[in-house]
This record gives sequence, structure tokens and C-alpha cells, in this order.
Amino acid sequence: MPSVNSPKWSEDIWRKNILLYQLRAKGETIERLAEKFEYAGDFPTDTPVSLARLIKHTAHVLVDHLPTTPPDQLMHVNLLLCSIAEHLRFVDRSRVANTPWSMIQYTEDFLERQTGNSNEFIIRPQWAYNYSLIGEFVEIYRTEIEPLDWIPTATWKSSLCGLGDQKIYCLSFPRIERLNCLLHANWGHEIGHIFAKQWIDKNFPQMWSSEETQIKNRIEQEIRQNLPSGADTLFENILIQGMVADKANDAMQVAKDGLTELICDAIGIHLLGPAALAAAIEFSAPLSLDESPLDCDMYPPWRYRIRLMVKECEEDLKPHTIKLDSDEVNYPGPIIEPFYNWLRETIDLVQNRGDIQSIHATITTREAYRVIEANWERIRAEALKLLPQKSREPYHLLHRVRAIEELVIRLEHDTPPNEVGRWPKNSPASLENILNAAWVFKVKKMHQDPGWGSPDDFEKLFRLVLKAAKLSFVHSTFGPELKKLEE
Amino acid sequence: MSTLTRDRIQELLESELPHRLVVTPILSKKQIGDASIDVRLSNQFIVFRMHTFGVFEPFSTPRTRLRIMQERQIVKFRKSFVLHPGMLALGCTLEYICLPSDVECQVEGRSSWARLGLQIATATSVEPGFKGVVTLELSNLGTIPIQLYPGVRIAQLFFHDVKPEIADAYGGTRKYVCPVGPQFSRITDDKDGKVFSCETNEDS
Repeated sequence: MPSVNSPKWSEDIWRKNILLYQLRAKGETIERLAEKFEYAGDFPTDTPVSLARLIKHTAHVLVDHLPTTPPDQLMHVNLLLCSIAEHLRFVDRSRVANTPWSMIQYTEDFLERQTGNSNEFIIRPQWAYNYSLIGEFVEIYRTEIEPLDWIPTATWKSSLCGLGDQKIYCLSFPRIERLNCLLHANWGHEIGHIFAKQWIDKNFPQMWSSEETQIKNRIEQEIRQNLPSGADTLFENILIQGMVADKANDAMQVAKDGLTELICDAIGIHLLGPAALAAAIEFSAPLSLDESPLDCDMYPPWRYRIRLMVKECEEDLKPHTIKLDSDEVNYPGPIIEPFYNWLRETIDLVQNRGDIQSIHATITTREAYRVIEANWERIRAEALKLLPQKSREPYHLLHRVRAIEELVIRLEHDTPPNEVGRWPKNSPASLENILNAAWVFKVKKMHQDPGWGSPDDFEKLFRLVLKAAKLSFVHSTFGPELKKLEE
Repeated sequence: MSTLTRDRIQELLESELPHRLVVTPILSKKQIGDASIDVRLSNQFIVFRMHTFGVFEPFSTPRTRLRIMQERQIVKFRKSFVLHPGMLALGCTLEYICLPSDVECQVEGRSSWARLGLQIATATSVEPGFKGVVTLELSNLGTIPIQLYPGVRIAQLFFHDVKPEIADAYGGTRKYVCPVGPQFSRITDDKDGKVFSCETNEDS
């Protein structure tokens, strides 16, 4: 190795020499760690193992091609290795001990059915108090590997042994809510991100560009109206154009992120019905409902979101007389009524227009939400059409009155709400019904018994619901096979 | 006390709550016999970590310390749990059971498993009014390891009438309330045991 004083010494060579052995060591460590997870065996499903394999193979390909990596790309490879190493935490955290494991298999199965069979989900806790969806990992890795012209993409793909056709997402929930399966109805919103992204990528740029000129004109008009008198006219136009561009860009981001969340909310309600609204209500209750998007990472104000969710649940928030098996049944009926009334309180909640005032307070948010409101019904319909055919029918509580009532009665008798009917005419309850029944039960108990609601009461409810999710999954997976055997 | 037969079991399974006998889920007709219901093995187990603990003194060990010697294991369906000769593991029934206040039940191993050396329960009686899964004390008395698959029929429940019906059956303070998985031992809660334990005598 040439010394610093040697004419042959250069910083690039110095870095290259260090990085070559360092990256090999980093890559191989990542491979080994990923392999450890691969064989750990304590995951509720196989998806975390799939991500561990994806990480292992990707690290291997990067290390394998180090000798042909251009020296000026070694720092980039370092960044890649560090970033995929970080993803190992998703695998690590999804171990049985960290998750509400008894509902994971059923939830994954439910999510795959609702979003398409090639999607797989890792469910893991995070210490941040939030729900989120990260991924899709195969696509993220593909977009990172493809530009590296010293690694043929085919080599990377073939090293994945079939993993390349999978879509792997990581769904996170707040760690302290691990057992709170009722709040996990927020997962409906999170998987909405898959479809929201599809809609945004395909349609948003076109929609925005058709509005952009008009928006910029309005922004410019407002800026000019508010210009202080006696401003320096020499640079005025340049200054204004800069401000218009900035504000228009902000408006675009507010509209894009706002629409993303609103689409997700609509999908969550579509899939899980009032349970998703109830989970959103509980999640948002401690937060400010009227925060401007500019003050909270471009998220729409909660009151605005709840208003649209209430509209999405409209049918379930009105009394009905429905015909079920030739009987006339009154909805909501005595069992569902407390939950129904509790949800209807949101109708009063959204009469307050504090959120609209926040939105109207700046030209940026005003313009963004003008575009959203003008197009919302069309966007919502288009986004819901992106769901697989079998998920197109929205969940309505009022069409499940009998099943929900039966499941609630089971909970009232300390019995998991895992099935409807009685042997031999019993059938497994769906995850949607289990979650909605759990919410109906919880609100009913709190309404009727002021002494109910201790941590022990909640824990018992969560345990019964988690047990129900597992039993229902086993019943629907193995029941038909056993029936076939008997025939 | 008489053992309930198929028709009476069926009648109880179809009764209204809270008089219903709940065994859920029953996945196949085969599970209901002439005088019993077969129950399946769940996928939760508690195994013992011998290397973390010395002698277990039941009446002076804090319950939280018991966690050090016991570890929960979850086995995926279609994967197996291997029970080695001489090994004790706690498992539980897949089925959640609710007994009416006038029925008690006995948990018995199936002879097909017993012939391989598998013993499934030592505390075999379940009291009227019980709600939850039944913890099984699985031990392999044979000489060869046994692969246990979650979902297999592992035990039988025999039901008996209790007369007169017990008021507030399984009410009051109970050690195990609506368990949904195998339960760690709560022997340390037995207050009367302390009277007899040498640790207490020495202390006093």
C-alpha cells in the first residue's frame, strides 16, 4: 500500500482499500444475521423468514460483486448494505413473543385475501405510538439493484429462488397496544396504503397538472393582495414567482398526502365497517382534531377524516328495518344500540367546523382541499375499484345483525366469539365480524356497567377475541379438509 | 353422578347460554363419541428451562420467578412439537370449553397415544361452571420421542351430571379465569401449603 507521502497515494485508493474489506465483512455479517432469523423458528408465519431470505440474498449478491464494483460506487454499496441491515429489525421484532400471535395468521390470511394473493405481511410492534405500512420490499430492493450496472439484475433475481414474485410489506402497530386487537382494526386503513399508492402514482400527476395553472393564479393573486405597500418593485416579480412556486408545491404535497390518507380511511371502513371507524375514533381522541396539515406532516385534520368516515358508514348509522331469513329485524336492536349511539356521537362531533377553518386559513391548504373536495367521490370510487373483485362488497353491520348479536352474547358469557350457530350447524365467524362484535360488546359493557373497564376487564376481552381469531382461522382452514375426509 | 351419553351431550351443545355446554370449535363429527367428546391439541406449549433454576420450592418462590423456569412456545399448525422421553410440557386443548353449572367433566388421554407412552393429564377433573381451555400436562413415559402436531385429537372429555346444580358454579376467587392458553403453575398461591413447608417452619 503506498504511503501518504508517496506520489501514488490518493484518497480514493485509500478509501477503496478500506471499503473492500469492510464491505465484505458487513455484507457477510448481514448474511449470517439473516440466516439466524431464517432458522429461528419462532415466527407466527413464514413471511418474516421470506424477508430475512431476501435480505440475505441481496447482501450476498452485493458482496459477491465487490471485486467488479467501480471504486466510486463503493460508498453507495455501503449505504445499501446499511439500509438493508436496518430492515432486519422488522424480522426480529415480528417474533411470536412480540406480537398478538394468535391473530397474526388469520390477519395475514385476511389481508392477503383483501389485497390479492401475492401480498404478504410481516406484523411487528414499534415503540412509536402509531400504525404504519412499510414496503413493498422486493420492489424497493429491485429499484436499488437495477441501476447497479456491474450486477446483472437477472443474477440478483435468480439468487432469490422465487422470492422475486412475492410482495412483502411490514405492518407496524404500537408496542404498548400489542393485545389491543380492537384497536388493530386500524390495519384496514394501513393496507389501504397499497391501493392509495396505486391510485396516486397513476392518477395524481395528471389530476394536479390539470389544476395547477389555476392554483398558481390564485396563489399569485393572494400574494399580490397581501404585498406590503412600497415593496421593492425591481425584484417583486421574481420574488412572487418564487413564492408561488413554493406554495404551489406545498399545496400539491398537502393534496397528495391528504388524499392518500383519505383513500386509506375509505378502504379501512370498506373492509372492516364500523370497527374501523371506532378504532379511528379511539386513536384520534387524544389528538387535536383540527390541526392544519401544514402543522402535522401534511396529514388531513382528524375531524375532516372522521367526517368522511362517518359518511362512509352512513348506512350503519341510520335505523333500518331489514328482512333476514323472512323475518323483519329492527336495526340496530338492543344489543347493537349502545355502539350505534356511540358512533352516532361522531355526527355531532363533525358538526364543528374547526377543521375547515384550519384548512381555509392558508391558501396552500385551501387550494389543496378545494381540489380534493371537487374530485373526492370519483377518486374514492376509483380507489375502491382497485381492490380485488371479492373485496368489492363493503362491510355493513346492519347486514350482519344476527351474527354480531350472537357473537356479542358469546362474549357476555366469557366465550370467544369464534363461530356462529351451534354444532352441527356452526360456521366460523369472519375476522370482520369478530372485530365488530368485540367493539359492540365493549361499548355495550361500558354503557351498561360503569364499573366495567378495568385493565383486567379489557385484558379478558382481548384474550377472548384473540382466541376467537385463532379458532376461527383453524376452523375455516382445517374444517373443510376434515369434512372432505368424512365424506 | 352419571356419565352423559351422545344424545344428552348433543342436547347440551344445542342449549341456550348459559346452560349450553360449549366445546368450540368442533371440527368433525368424529369428535363426538358415544359418551365423550374428543378434543384437539392447541399450538401453545410451556416448556421448562432447567438450566435457569435450581430446586423449586413451591411456597416461597415468588410467582414472577416461575417465569424464569418456564418458557412459552408457539408451534405453527402443520409443524410439530417433539416431546422427548422423560420430558414434561404443558399444552392445552384447542377447544374452549364452558361447562354448565350442573355438569363436570373428566379429561382422559386417548389410548392410541397412551400406547406410545404419552400421558396427557394428571389433574383430570374440570369443575362445573369452568370456562376456558384445559391445560394438559404432557409427558412422555415411553422411550422414543413423540412428534405432536397441533390440531390432532389428543384427549377425551367425559361429562357427568352434578346434582344438585351448583349455585355460582366456578364463581368467587379462582386461580385460573377464562384461560386461553396453558397456564403456568400457581401452586405458590396455595396459602395452606405454607403451613406445612419446611421453609416456613424454619423461618418461624
